[in-house]
Amino acid sequence: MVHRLFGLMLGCLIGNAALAQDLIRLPDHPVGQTWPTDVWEEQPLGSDVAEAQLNAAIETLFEAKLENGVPDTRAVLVIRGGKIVFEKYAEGFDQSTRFHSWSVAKSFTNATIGMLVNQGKLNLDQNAPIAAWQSDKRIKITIRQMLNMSSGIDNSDGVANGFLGNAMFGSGALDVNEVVADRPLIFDPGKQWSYSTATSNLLAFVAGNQMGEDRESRQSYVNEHLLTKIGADDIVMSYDKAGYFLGGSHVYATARDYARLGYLYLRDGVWDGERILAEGWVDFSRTPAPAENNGNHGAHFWLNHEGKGWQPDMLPGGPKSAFIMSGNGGQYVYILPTHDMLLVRLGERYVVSWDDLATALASVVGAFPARSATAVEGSAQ
Amino acid sequence: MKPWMKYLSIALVILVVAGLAYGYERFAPLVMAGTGLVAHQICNCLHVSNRELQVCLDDRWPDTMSISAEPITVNGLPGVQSKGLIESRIALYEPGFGCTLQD
Repeated sequence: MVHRLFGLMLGCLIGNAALAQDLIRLPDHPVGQTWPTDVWEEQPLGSDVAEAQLNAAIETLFEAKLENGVPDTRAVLVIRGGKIVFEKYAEGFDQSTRFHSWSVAKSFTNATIGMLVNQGKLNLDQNAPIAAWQSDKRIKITIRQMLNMSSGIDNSDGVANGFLGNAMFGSGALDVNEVVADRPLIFDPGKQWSYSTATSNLLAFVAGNQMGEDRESRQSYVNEHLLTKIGADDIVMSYDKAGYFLGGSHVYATARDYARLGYLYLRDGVWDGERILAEGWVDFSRTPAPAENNGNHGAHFWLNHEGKGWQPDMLPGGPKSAFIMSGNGGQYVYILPTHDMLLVRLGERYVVSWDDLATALASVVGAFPARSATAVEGSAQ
Repeated sequence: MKPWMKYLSIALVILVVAGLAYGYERFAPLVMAGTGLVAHQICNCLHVSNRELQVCLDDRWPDTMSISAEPITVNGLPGVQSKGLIESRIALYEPGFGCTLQD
């Protein structure tokens, strides 16, 4: 009850009160256990884990390869109760490898905004400070709507004529935001969900302008206020030549550093006693975006709800409360409050289908028991 | 040459030129983006993920395999130049910032 009231209060602060109260409580970091800032503690799987099921699922994940031997899955990491209980790398990869990811960067962008909201530099319901939008109806678009992929701008990844590719890697690549900001409004802001890497880039632009005047000062700011605090300052974020983080794709990090960012969300935006993301931020991130055509997208995080339209099943049969960083090619950081667990899968998806990959990962999760109902407290799974 | 053959030849030439211009207009941006993606990806694979060149070349989407890529150094910065049918792109690496497309 206390947590439901607390959730309601947070919901009022960040918004979406009616939705936030349905979220299950996030588990606490175990008392007396060292935070994984420098070192991740490891422990054996535990006798309550269905080891045969786990091994079978892992074998399925690692056996998919191209004819030239390049593997689909390169790393799988499971954190349970704050400790590493399973870690495996394909040949040629190890703990020190920085793995490429595509849209996992969108959740990194969410983190930078959540950090700036916590610092009072941005707020969710302010209009997005983007110069090209200030003289027409786009002036009404808020940061919340952008994080919910509901800006109403005609800039989805599916826009024809290679819009996104051109902006990211074609003639627009030197100043991505100049290109992606120049798109018209086609829906009322907040009404229509539309997956948009361009929007993530614009959010990174908005965040970057709060952090510094050039690439160096922006990266220093992110390191000082976010990445170093969680022990993940080896993460490499990609930039355009104008000096802005490519907020929609192309983060490079070790499996353990991806897990560190996931762990920050599992612990409600607090790391070792210090609040890094705004209070209520994680609940906002894991609440479905309110647009009618959205089923399983929160705020730059995917949810294990039923998708609408092309939205994919993220973890078939897994807990509904899971929220996920996800990249094209199947880079995943599953955050599982019911299990006090993270599952990281890195690699590409040259051979295996989306559905088969999600099914194998669901089998990994299924090998681990959920926390007791008392511990989960009000879990609706 | 009979006059009608002359006019037909001119019309064919115009048609071919227009077709090529349309094709270039239509596909050049896609080729440019693909070439840029390869330069960016291979550069990061080499310098951020610290993998071998041949491994990086093998590890990319099959429909970009026709784009070549080779290591280069520009103004002391290591990077990768990719070359497609009509485009060449360069990405350079700087520690802490990964690889950035330069042109």
